[in-house]
Amino acid sequence: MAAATDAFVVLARVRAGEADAARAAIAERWERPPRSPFAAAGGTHLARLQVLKPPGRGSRECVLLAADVDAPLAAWLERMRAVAATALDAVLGHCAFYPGASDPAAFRRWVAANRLPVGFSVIGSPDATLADVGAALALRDELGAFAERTQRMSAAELHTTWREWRDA
Amino acid sequence: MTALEVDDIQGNVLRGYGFPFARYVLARVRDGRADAARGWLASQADPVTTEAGWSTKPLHARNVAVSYAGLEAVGVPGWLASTFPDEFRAGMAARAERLGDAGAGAPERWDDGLRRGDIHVLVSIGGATEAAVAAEAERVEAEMADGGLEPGVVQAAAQPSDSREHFGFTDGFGQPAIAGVARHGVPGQGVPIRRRPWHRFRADVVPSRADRRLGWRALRPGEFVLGYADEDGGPPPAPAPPLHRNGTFMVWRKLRQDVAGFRRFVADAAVETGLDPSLVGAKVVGRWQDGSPLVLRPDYGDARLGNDRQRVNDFAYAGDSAGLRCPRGAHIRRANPRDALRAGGGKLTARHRILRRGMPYGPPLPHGAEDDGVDRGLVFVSFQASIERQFEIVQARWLNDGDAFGLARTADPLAGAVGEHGARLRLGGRPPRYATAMHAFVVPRGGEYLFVPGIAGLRAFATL
Repeated sequence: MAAATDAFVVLARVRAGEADAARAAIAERWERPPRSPFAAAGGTHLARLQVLKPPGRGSRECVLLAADVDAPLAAWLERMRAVAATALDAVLGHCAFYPGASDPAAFRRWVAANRLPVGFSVIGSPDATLADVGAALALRDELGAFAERTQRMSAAELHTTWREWRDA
Repeated sequence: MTALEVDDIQGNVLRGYGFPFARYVLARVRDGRADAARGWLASQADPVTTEAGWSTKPLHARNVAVSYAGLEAVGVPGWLASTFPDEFRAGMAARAERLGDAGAGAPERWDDGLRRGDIHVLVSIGGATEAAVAAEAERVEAEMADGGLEPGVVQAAAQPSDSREHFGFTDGFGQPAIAGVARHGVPGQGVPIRRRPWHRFRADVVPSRADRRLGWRALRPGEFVLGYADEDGGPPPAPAPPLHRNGTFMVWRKLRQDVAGFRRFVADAAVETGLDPSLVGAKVVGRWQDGSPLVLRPDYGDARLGNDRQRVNDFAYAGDSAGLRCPRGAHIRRANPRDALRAGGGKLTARHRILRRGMPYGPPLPHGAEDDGVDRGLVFVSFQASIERQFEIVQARWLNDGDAFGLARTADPLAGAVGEHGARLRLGGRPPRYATAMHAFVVPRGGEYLFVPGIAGLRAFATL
C-alpha cells in the first residue's frame, strides 16, 4: 500500500544581499495573511519556510522549505504552485536560478535540483491523509460528546443509545 | 556558572517579593516629550528595587517596564529597537489570534486604557499595606507627569491571606527553581531528572522526598534573564547593547474571572457525573483547593500536604500517563507538564517555563452568591527570556490546544480559549466521566508585552 504522506526538504541558495528581502517576504506574504498559503494548498501536515545559514556553507544564506504532506508529493507541489504562485515567487524569487512559479515544468525542475534527501522524518500520522486526520478528530469529538451525554445511563440504556447512535 | 549580577537585575523577577498588595501604574509618553520620558526612565535606575537581597524588607518596592510602543515613543533609535524579538515588537493585541483572544476577550473589546498602544510604560508597585502602595502609586504618577508621561489606568491587586485566587484555589507557589537563586532547594520546582549518586555533590539538584529515583534540577537563569546560559546552553537572543544584559520580558495581562460561572459549571458537572463538586473542581485544576496535588492525593484533599512547601510540588506524571489520578487535561498539568510530554519529557518542558508574579484583583464573590457583576480576576504577570517560546507556547499550544498531550484540539476549560464547541475534560473514573465548559471562565481584558531593562539598561536611556 502506498504511504499516505511524504516529506521533502528544499534548500536553495539566496542571491548575495537578498536574504533580508526574502525574510521580509516571508513575514509579509506567509506569516501575516489570515490563512497561510501552506493551508490554502491543502494536504499540508507540517511545513517550514525560513531563511537561514546552514552549517558548512560559510556565510551563504539559504531558503529552507520543508514540509510533511499528503502523498503524492508531486500533486501537493502542483497545488502549492497553483494557489500560492505569487507568495512563492516573492520568497523563492531571491534564490539562485529560480524560474518562477508560472512555468510548472521549470518549477518542478528547480525544486528537484534543490531538493535534499530526507534523512529522518517523524510524521504524527504517517498513514493518514489530512482529511483522515480531520475525520478522526471529528469522530473523537462525537465519541466524547456521546460518552458525556450517556455517562449516567444504565447499561441497558447505554446499549440502546449506542446502537441508535451507531446506526444513525 | 556565571554568577548572577543581582544588583543589575530588577527585583521581583527571580524571587517574588511576597508583598500582599500591588498597584500597576500604566502610562503613555506625551506627544513631543520623548526626551523627558527617556530621562524619566533613566532616573528610575535609583528608585527601582533590584534582585539584591535586603536586610530589612521595605514597606514597598517599585519596578519599571516599557513596551515596544513605549520604546518607539521615547525615541529609541531604530537600530536598537529592531533588535527586539518580533512578538515583543508586535505587542500583545497583535498576537490575539495566536493567544486565542477572541469573542469577549478580543482586543477590540478590551478595557479602556488597556488596549493596543495604551501602555508605553508600566510601573509595578508591591507593598506591605494598601496605604503604602497607594501612596507610592501617587508619587509615581506625580513623577511621571513631570517626566513627560501621562498616567492612565492604575490597576490595584491584592493577595488574600490564604493565597487563594477567585475560584478558590491556592495559587502562585509552583514556580521554577533557578540555578544560583537562593530559594531553589525546594523539591518539585525544577526539571525532573533521574537521580544519580553524584548529584549529591551538585548544589543545583534537589532530591525528591517522595521518590528516591527522582531529583529536581534547577533551571538555568538564561531561561528568565538575558545574558546568561539557558537550557539550550547559550544565552537567549537579546536586544543589542546597552539593553542586552540583565533584562527580561514581561507579560502583563488583566484576566477577568467568571467566578459564578465556574461554580455553576462545577456544580452542574457534579450532578451530571455523580462526583463530589470538590473533586470535579480538583480534576479541572489538578489540585484540590488546599493546594494538594491530585497525583499525590487523587481521592481527597490534604491541607497538611497543601501547606508543606517541601512536598506540595514534589511529584511527576510518569506514573500517571493515562491521567487516572490527575486528568491529562487538568490545568496545572497543561501549564507545567513536568515529564508528561509524549516527546521530550522534562527537558522540553524546561524550555517553556515562566515565572508568575500575578495577583488577584477585585473583591471575592461570597460562597453561594449569584453573579454580582463586579469586576474581579487576576492580574497575570509573567517573566521570561522569550515571550514567544515560553508564555505563548504555554497559552497557545498547551492551554488552548491539547495536541501535545494526546487530547487533540481540546482547550483547558479553566484558562484556555474555549471555542464554540466548548472544552471537554475527561475527569477519569471507571467508566470515565466527562464535563464540558461551554464558555471561557477567564477572559482577557487587556494587556501588553513589556521589556524590563537591567539597572544599567535603565540608566542608558539617558544617552540613547
